[in-house]
Amino acid sequence: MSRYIARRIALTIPTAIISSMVVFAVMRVLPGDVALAILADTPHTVEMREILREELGLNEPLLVQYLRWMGSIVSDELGGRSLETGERVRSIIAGQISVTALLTAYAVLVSVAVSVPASVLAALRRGRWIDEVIQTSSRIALSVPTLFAALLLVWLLLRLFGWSAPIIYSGLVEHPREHLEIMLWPVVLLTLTYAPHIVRVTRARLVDVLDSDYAQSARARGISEARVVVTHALPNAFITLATVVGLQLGVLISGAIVVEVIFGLPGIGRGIVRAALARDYPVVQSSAMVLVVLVLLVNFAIDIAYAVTDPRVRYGRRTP
Amino acid sequence: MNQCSRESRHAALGLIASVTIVVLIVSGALAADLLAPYDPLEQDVGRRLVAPRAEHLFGTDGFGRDVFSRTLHGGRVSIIVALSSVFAAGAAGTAIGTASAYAGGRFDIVIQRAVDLLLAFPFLVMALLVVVVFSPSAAAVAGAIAISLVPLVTRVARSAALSVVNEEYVLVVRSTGAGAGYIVIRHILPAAGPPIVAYLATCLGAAIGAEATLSFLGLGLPPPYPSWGRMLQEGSRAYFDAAPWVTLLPGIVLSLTVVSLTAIGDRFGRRRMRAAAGQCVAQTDERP
Repeated sequence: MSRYIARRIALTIPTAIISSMVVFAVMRVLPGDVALAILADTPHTVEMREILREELGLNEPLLVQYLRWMGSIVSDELGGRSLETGERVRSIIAGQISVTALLTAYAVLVSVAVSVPASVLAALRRGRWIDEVIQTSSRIALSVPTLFAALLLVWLLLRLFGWSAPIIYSGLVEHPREHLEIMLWPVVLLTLTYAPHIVRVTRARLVDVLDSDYAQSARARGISEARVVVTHALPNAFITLATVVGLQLGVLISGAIVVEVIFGLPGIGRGIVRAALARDYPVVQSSAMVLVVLVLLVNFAIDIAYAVTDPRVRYGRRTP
Repeated sequence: MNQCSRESRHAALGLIASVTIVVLIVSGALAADLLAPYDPLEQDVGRRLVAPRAEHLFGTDGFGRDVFSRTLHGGRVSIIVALSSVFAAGAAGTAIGTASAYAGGRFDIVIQRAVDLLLAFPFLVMALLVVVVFSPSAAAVAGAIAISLVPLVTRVARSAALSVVNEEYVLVVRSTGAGAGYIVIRHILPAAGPPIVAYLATCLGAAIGAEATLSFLGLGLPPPYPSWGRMLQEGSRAYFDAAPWVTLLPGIVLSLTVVSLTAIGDRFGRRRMRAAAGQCVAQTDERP
């Protein structure tokens, strides 16, 4: 087991480093010009652009720029300072990360809690009307743009309860009640876009297992359908479920960016959009990096979960 | 078998509905100049925030502009941007994916690893990174969406081509000494193409959604021309409560387009698989 974990760590770290190179390459190597983008809205001369380039260190060789960025991540200044406020990027992101991490964690938990019973129900009643309803509604829910779903929800809340997005965010530790109240609707919304992915795949897997020979033979031995589901179907569907949770995490994070902006949650998603609007590229590139590392960490955790539940993975007989 | 025929009847109805919606909206948007009853930019302060009625089907916005005309014109901008990004990503992804499947070996492994790595980037994060480097323009938005789509298309194209490269007829052509380019274009793509094209329909839906999201966030197309995302932004910021139609009606048109395109992509992708298996397969047996 420890060898398996060591191997996974050895795979995840280079992936993170190459991802950072991709972020850096997109920001610098693409034909766009950061200095030009910053000055786009103001009248400026070529000299002003040159001075700005010099100030930002954009005239240095790319390798030097990359290593400086990496160095500032390893030492205590994540990606240097904000161009807009001069604040350290690390302290900006430190303030935001818990909001995004909690928001996505709640969304994953609620989605799993909702979609597992829904998938079991659909699989047990396959071909019946309840299955059709669950399948059709999840197929539609997963393709409605999060943007529109969020705006529609805000409007309904406004109309029905005179509700509007709270201006002040409350932390989980300091004000647990207010915190959960603030998170409630954003989590509902993310669940609406994320749970359907899980239902789709988990239902299909459950149907496969319930139709399998060993499920049939369990029934033949007089074992109740409920026990077949709990002891045979669900453990088998777990790997599929974990895989889809990891695969669709990007969808969840993209959704979280939109939801944070619309509901005014001070997370990394809203932060990266604000920074992008201000052309504050040190904040943009470090925030993007943090979001990618979040995806990698969750996938790492899922890989470990595979090994815990499935000995074949641990012994390298089967790659998930 | 009874179950099977009922499923395919539902499927046919859903497909007809989706295609009708997409054709209506896309042709309406592309013919915006002919169909729009008003100039989308013409302001009429005397007719601010008029609720939907016969002469203004979708009402008017805060400047007295006709929301229906703006939805048509905005749709044209959104659809053209999305189409060009899907076209670019489709060409690049298909080329890389089929080449990777055909070549196999080390090249294939490198491409696969690169695709896995890029898929760790949430769609919106990648698009945001690209958009920030350019001054706001339609081309920058289209490019950003295209770059975010390339790894997805590559993965689908690779697996579609992989199911064909070892078919006997391909091996026969290979044994005659035909060149790789000729084999891929004349023999592999015609067989592997349809599922890729079906997937591109889904991508088009995603691209329209992404354009709307970027424009909504203020990172999309610059004023004055409307796009669906910019209309949602303006409407929801200024007078969401007083005049919800300014936001919700274009939003519904946007969502109908995206949902229908996704449904079409799903349906055709599944039908190909069913034909390949030569039997009726349960509806949800494809995995993302």
